[in-house]
Amino acid sequence: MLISSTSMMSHYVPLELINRILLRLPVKALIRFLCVSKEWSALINSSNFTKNQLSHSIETNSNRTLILKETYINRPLQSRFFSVPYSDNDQFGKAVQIYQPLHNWDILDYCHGLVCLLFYKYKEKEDIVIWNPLIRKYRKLPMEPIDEPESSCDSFSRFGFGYDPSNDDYKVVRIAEFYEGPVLMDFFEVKVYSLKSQCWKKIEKQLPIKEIWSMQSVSLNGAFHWIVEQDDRLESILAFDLANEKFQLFRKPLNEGMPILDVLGGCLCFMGVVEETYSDFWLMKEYGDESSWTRIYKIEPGAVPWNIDYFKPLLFSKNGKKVLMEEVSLFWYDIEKKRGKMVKNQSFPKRFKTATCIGSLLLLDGDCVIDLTQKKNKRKR
Amino acid sequence: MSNTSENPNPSSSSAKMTLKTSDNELFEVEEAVAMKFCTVKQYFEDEKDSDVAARGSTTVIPLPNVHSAVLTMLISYGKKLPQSNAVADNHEEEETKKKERKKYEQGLLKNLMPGELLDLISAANYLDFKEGLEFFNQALADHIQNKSVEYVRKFFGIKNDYEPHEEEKYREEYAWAFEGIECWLIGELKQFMAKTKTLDIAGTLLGIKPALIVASFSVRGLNSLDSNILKPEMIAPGENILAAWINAIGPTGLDSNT
Repeated sequence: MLISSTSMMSHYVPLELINRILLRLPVKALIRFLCVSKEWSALINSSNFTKNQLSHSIETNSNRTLILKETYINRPLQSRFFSVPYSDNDQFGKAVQIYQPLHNWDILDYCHGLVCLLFYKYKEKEDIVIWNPLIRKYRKLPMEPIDEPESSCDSFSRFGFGYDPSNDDYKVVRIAEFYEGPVLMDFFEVKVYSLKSQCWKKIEKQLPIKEIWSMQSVSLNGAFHWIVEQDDRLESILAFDLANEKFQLFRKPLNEGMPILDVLGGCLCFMGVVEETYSDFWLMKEYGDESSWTRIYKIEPGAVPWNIDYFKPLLFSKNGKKVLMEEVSLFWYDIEKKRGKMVKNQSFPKRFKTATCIGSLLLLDGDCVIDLTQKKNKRKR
Repeated sequence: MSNTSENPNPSSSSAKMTLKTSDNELFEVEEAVAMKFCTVKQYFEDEKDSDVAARGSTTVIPLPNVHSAVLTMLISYGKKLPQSNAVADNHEEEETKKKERKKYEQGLLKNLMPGELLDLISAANYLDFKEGLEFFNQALADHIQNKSVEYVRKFFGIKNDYEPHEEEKYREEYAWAFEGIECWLIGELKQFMAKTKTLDIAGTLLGIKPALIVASFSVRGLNSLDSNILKPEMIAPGENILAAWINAIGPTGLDSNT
């Protein structure tokens, strides 16, 4: 068409130009291109590249995927995981089965393309794994004992997973509460695991509260959050900042309904749920400013053709007018029209829990997830 | 055309600049478009500082690293971008313009050979043309994202400095990343075939002796999509055809063929 053959192909392309092209590739391609040459491998493996690629994906809202964990009441040990690509125009692709590391887990929380999986039974030691499902790598957390105040105590742990921006680190928090018989003791043990340093650390500060209500924490802005009860029976939101390891309390926006926390659109989201009656959604538009609590919508009978209960909000649609929510399966809730519509996708499992994921190269140095079917088909050498 | 899209200062919007390419061609470009090339903008501003009496129209800005064919395309892309000095349109006009631009972009990419993309990226980089870089970088990324390692090496002129066993280790560890990737030969073929070809009916030949026979193993019957067409739709002489395939993927997908 236009350019003379002398300017075509085989001239040397500077690495700087290649870098900018590689930043825009999906992670599957990046992994494959690791073996193009040693120079490319060094580039893709570098932590700078990982950082830039993640920032670019977040800025351009690309490389997004949903991770679904089948919830199968009959056969919990066989529940499968799926990945579903999610495009810029709010369309879902086909769900493809993916393999989780080691054994059956629940999704604890997720951030930036990492999903934290938890296997925990009361009175037993927990198993925690941080997983990057799109590059099939994971890291299993080392066992960390609970320092029980007395040997006669039983302990119950709650967990959280999140990102600490001031240290560019991903952390898992475990808060253990103790029971002497049926009586809750007024003492908590807080330990934090850092993915960077790959070890646990104990937080010496004591929690300024009586009891924690949330089953798991919600992480935002480098802090973990729980619904808690203070000494004077007042329910509030407890925030624990990962960087300076300080506790802070926020007032709830509502006093009615069962209080539940989540994150939506980069803001702390508070829900007041009264089963079969309503589900009220508030966002803390300015983090830390209690007066910025704003109701964004309230789901009432008639809006959705199923029982109103706790629906986990996942994300806003591109134009911000709809919210993707989870109720056994997924549905879009139109805020203006006050109507919920199920997402119909044949490839989805019937019932599942969802995590949102961005394609990233985090944990590239982790352990490989073994795909069991591939293992069977592998030729003997 | 509405008045609102015109710049209130008409003389500066119609000001032109002259750019000279590596093959000594001269291009007269509107200032608004040329200013999107930050290298040009910088040169222009430096010239202003050095107190040149006549602006733009007599100064010729040399671009020794850019070929005329490449510049033509970059200028035409630059023209389609929303102008920074234009008054903001209402939402509807903006949406229409966005759609038009998308259509233009798709048409542009359709006619481009992948190698040309590299030249465009190089030039856009030299000219510091941010929007162009963004667009062409994405286009090239989209092009190579499902290509094989061999294709990428050939495309960028990269020598493989891995030992065979080292490369094999990667391929085993990340076998999943190599699934569903088209063989580079097919990629080359597709590119070659992308140039439009038309088949004309040459005619029917009669009286050929001996008459050609369709091999017993060739498929016969109705075409599954359109039963008015009988199989084989297209045939050529030959039986024991030798075809090549890469080691990793056999022709039948059976283990015995790899």
